[in-house]
Amino acid sequence: MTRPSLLDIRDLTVQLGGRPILQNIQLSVAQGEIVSLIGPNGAGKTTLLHVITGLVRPKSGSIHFGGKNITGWPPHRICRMGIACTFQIARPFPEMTAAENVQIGLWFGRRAKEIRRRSRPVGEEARRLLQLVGLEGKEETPGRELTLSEQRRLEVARALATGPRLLLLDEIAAGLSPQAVSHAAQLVRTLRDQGMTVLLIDHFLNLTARVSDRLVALDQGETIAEGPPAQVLHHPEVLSAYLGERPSKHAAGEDR
Amino acid sequence: MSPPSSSRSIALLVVVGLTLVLWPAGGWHTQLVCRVLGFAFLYATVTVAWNLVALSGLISLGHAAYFGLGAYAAALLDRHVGAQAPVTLAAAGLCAAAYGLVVAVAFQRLRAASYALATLASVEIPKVIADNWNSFTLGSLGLVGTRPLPAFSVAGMELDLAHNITAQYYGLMALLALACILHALAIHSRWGWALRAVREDERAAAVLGVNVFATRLGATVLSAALTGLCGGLYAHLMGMTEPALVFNLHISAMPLVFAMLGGRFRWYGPVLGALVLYGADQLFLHPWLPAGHAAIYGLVIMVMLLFLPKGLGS
Amino acid sequence: MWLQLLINTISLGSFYTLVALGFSIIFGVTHTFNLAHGELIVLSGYLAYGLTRFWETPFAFTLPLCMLAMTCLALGLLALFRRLREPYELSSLVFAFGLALVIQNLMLFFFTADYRRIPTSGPPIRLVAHTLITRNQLWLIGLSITATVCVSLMLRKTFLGKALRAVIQERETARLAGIRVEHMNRIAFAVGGALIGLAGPLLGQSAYLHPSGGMEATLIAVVITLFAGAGRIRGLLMGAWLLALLESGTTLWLGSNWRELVSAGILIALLIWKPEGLLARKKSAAEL
Repeated sequence: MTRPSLLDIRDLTVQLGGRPILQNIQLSVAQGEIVSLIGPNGAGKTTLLHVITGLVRPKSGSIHFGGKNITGWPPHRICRMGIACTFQIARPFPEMTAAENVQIGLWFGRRAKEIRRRSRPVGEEARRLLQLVGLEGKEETPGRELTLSEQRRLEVARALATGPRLLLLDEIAAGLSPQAVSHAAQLVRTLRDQGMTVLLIDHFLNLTARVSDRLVALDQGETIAEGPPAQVLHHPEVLSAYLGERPSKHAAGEDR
Repeated sequence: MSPPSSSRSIALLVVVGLTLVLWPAGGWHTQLVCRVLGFAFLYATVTVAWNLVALSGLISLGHAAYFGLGAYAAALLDRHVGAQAPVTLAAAGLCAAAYGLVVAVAFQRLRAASYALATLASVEIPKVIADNWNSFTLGSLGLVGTRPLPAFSVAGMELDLAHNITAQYYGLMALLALACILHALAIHSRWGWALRAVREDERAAAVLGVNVFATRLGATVLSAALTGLCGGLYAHLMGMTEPALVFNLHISAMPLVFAMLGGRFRWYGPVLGALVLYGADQLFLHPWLPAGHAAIYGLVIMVMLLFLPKGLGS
Repeated sequence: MWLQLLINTISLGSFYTLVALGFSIIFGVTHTFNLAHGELIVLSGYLAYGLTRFWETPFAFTLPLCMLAMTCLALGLLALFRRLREPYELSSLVFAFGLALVIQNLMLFFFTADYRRIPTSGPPIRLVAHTLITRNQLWLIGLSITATVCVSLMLRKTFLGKALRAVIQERETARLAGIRVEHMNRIAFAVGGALIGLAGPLLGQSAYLHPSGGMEATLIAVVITLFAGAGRIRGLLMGAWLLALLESGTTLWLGSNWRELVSAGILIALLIWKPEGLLARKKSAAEL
């Protein structure tokens, strides 16, 4: 890897209620890369994302972003540094319209300097972002009335509104129809073409093979494999973590 | 939630506002009504203050603590130091704000029922101290003889806040107007959007760059300061401050009732609730049912929670 | 003096157990945050006062009457509580807050703000040289412990009790296991109402009744429930006696007026220590 790394995680350990969730995680994501975190339920993928966004405090270890140590920073500062995320269970602001949801990100997600420099008016920028994720025409719909797939896309638009350099996507393709999944894959590729770095969680391996440059497999709080998709998906430990004893060729397409 | 005010509701507001402004010029039972409505303005201001915290998604059952602290700060300064009204009122606001700061920091991880409960208990601490520090606060007898507000003249007009009920009426109305501006800002400004985001989903708000703690802290301290100021005014207007009065459960209940009745998400809602219910209570119910008239407040809470389509969220 | 402190603590603690038991069963089974718990106890006390005062009912007869009345009232209230919307804990808390105000003002209307007391049933009994135990305290200790033991036996030994405990621990799982949760709600309110009914006359006999005296009892019930967890009888007993000890000690050394500070202070400390407090739930693995 020759590209400079944007996110650098060293020796990260997280405990919740005395129970270890993550142990000695090492992870670095290069500028412009798309990395997928995979692993069975309870592997600690979402916790890892929450530690990066500052929602969960690590017990030890460090997180560097763009050369700055952001370990233990509060979420809003990390957001303004340029890390945005979506939630596994979509949580749009239920009473706000889709456009207002995005505007929250536009207003609060950037540093004051950038907000002053912004050229487009807020309403127009919100519309552009909603269009990007395919929610044109839904601007005035309250968050709670959107479908699950629409809520996920709204979260992506809202995250993009904060002007991130690194985007963390938690299971954006889980439970979606095949068309919606390919739409999501297309979206991720579009973002990468625009220079965005993406770290995504993909428990059901919907997007992994199609978009990722690299895979990181977690199991029970530890990294068990890392590398190009084809290699990691056939790694014996990954197969056994997902399927127990019985490796299968259809693992990549399996859905719950 | 808050539809843009239609022209009809604006017209209604103008009518209500003009009626209130012109009432002292010769309405029905001018003196009595002005006295009652003056206090309705005071409690409406407390309601606005309470709603600042509610807009950030927390139901406080402890605003009597700020109110009582403000009243005691003003009355004690007046008694022991002989300070002038502007000083005592500033102190009232600051004391309550300090307590608000303590509450915001100490209870920062509490939500919903836990927060309501903790604030309810937080009233007991200043109350018991005021009740028992006999050498300083005169205990449960309370402080009497607090001097009334001063008289001063603005642009050649004599404004005697001490004895003239009409002057007090307009003074309190001006205070309420300022509170309303603050309330409108808390709904429609950038800060208002931060409050709204925190109220609807604070984790989502945090990862979108909203400083959740600072937003809540600001709302709580501002709310406490305004409530404390009202408490200070109460001490000067009534001339007496008793623990059982200023730390009363009703002071905590009133803003909740008024805000829910008038609508929490419109800038004029809390004020409307306060004027209607407090006015009705004091002018009609109190003369008819001197003991137990305040049951109406509890009854309104119960009825609204039972029959409003969204319950607490409305 | 130490012996007297011990006796006061035991009688106060037994009473607190009774107060907390009713609250904690209602809260544990139905998740109703009954902030009017204390007001209902005071109301029951006034009822007993009225019975002894105007119809000269002997004290022992007021107890079943109050229990019956409060059980009926509690079941009536359950019908109202059931209409509340989510978030249920907060809604029921605010609703009960309103209810508390209504009850307070009704009592103010019917009984005025004067302090009332149910006459005591006889002179105190001298145990040792300077140690007295009043007949009220005997009533208090005897009845509170009897009630606690009854409830405890019911929860541990009967089928109904096991179903109640299942609902306290895992509401949804209990529902899936075929327990009729609605039915359990009614039973919890009935038992809670009966305990409230029992506590009222005891309060009226051993302390003064005042329309605004209920909030203190509510705070005590909440503190003990928070300390012990809903439905854990041994925890409740321990919490109640600990609180009673702290309060008796405070009364002894600082004066009775500072006593109110104890339960409020402990409540705040407990809430800060356990922020999820009464609402603690297991987080799903997905949320981690």
